[in-house]
Amino acid sequence: MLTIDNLHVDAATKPILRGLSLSVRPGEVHVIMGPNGSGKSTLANVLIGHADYAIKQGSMIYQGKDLSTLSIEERALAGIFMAFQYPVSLPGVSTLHFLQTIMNQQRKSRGEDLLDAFDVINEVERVCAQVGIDPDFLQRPLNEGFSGGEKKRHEILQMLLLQPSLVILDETDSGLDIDALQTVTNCVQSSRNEQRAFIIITHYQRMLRYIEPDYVHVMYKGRIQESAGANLAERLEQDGYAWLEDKTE
Amino acid sequence: MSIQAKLINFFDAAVDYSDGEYVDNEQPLCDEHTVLLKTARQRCQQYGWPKKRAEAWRYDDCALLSDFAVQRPLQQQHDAWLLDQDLPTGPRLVWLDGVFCTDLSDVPVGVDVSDEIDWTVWEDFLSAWPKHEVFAAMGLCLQNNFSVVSLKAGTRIEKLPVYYLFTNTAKSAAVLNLSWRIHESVCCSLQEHLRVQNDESLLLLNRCYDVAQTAKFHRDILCQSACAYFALVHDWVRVKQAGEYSSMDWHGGKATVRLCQQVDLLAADAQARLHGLAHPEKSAFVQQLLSIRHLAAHTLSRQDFRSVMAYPGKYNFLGRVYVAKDAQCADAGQISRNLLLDDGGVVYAKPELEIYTDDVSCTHATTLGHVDADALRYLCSRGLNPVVALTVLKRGFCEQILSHFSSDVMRSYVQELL
Repeated sequence: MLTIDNLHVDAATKPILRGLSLSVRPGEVHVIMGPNGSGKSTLANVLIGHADYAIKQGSMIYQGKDLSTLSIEERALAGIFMAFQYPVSLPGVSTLHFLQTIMNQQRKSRGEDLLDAFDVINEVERVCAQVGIDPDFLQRPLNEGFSGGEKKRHEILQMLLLQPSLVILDETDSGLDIDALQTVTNCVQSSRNEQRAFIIITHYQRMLRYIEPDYVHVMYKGRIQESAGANLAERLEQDGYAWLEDKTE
Repeated sequence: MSIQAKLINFFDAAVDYSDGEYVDNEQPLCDEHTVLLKTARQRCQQYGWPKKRAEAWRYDDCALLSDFAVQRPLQQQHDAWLLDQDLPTGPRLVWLDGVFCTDLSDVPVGVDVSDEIDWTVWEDFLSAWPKHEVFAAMGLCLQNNFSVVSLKAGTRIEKLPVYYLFTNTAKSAAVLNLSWRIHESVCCSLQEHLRVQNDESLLLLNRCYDVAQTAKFHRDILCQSACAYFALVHDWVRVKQAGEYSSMDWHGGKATVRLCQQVDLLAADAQARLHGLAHPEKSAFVQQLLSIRHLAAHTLSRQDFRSVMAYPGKYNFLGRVYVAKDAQCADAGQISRNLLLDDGGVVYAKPELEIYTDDVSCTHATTLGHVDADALRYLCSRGLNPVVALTVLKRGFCEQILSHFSSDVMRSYVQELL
């Protein structure tokens, strides 16, 4: 599904990713951990097409297409979805109108009939129950006045509605209380299937109590230094990242 | 032809010259009218209206009129255009070229429309404006048709459509002098429509709104035109004890409009809430001059005016909140928010506070900028192309203010425009 090969990326001329390689197959769950500044969020942003990052070297092939040739919206329509670490507020944009617009944009790109407001309400209310969101939120401006946890739930709500092929969760677990974390991870777990892959960026091992990953990778200084199964996350929880310094040297 | 020459032509059409002095074409209505005209004319002369044919006009804002070679309104039949206006059935008030039109109106119970003139109102109106503001005086000088609308005490009208229709031809002027008297305990919401038939026509609208104690009066104002007309609007609102005045003002299209509003809060617990959204198209220019005067204690005002510059148009917001010495515990907030979407768009915004007492709560602010890049990126990351994403953000910016329309029809109409 996704093959990243020797990716070098600069942000404002500062090298962030320095030869990152990663291969993700359909149905897999990859967890990426690493200390602050190691390039985890940069990787996520580069995958969705953030224009502030310059690809200096390497390639990203997604479903046979060179991602670097696709715009941010083309990537989204091709099935790449990122749950943002800090979702923006959109004052004045009602959540329901926003959801209807993005759902119909995706349907339009697939040549499907557009949904009217009633169809959208029915579908959204069904998913709201799954994510634990009060449907009254739909009438409010998107993310405005939402708590951190509510914003994260809304990101998951969008994921469930859009049914993407590749899901990137950028520190979705941060700021969530235990109940919210469980709800969110249940949603992720239940939406796993053989066609959909996940890249989960996190600092903590706690998310992995509910989601069993296929791979855990450790990013350090702009590249993946170590890959293993879930036991790698446990080691990081116990030992931290200091041992990676020795390994890098 | 220079701007000065064009303007002199304009006034040539309205007045005669005799030995270089102005003389009315039309007979004054009465002694009070003569006094009013004299005062108005002195105001104009003092601030730039030439006394004699050869003199130059000095008033800077007349540069806005530079494309006009204005002449006196022409009386013509415009039946086809009027039919196109699709006026609603039921109660409605219609003015045609500044004159109340009984044929097209259906005056509801509790409302009285007359041509009775309370000269003190118009004298006060004239004195209400800063001395350099001469366009109100121009309107009073040019036309001696006056209308008064009275809403009887206790009248409740949920929605009253009001139409100001102007059929004056290109390069001609029309004037509306209209006084609203909203009596005690009235509760009324107007839906005011300004519709203009021809490009390059000039409108001068002078309106007074007297809101009596405990009355609640709201105006939805819809000015959307494909015509590149030119309007000079002077609205003066006086709110008495525990009276409430509110408005939602939409100005879109190609018109160049100068909107002067003065709201006087005359007694305790008087309130004014004003909202406006301007969306000038192409090279249109919307200029909003807003003055709120807290003249008594425990008065409240809120103003939220916005512009969306999606074209290389121009928008000004010059706001002023004045709190008099006796207006203790006044509560005022004024904000101007402006969204620049076109590199050729120009916005100049300046909210001001002028406070002469100490126990008050007053705020003012202005914002100006492009759309938030993060918000745009967020929307694109959900599959929206940048054009659609921009539209969503623009509508969101506007939606916050459009919610102040009391009329769902008007709100939906503007939403469709956006």
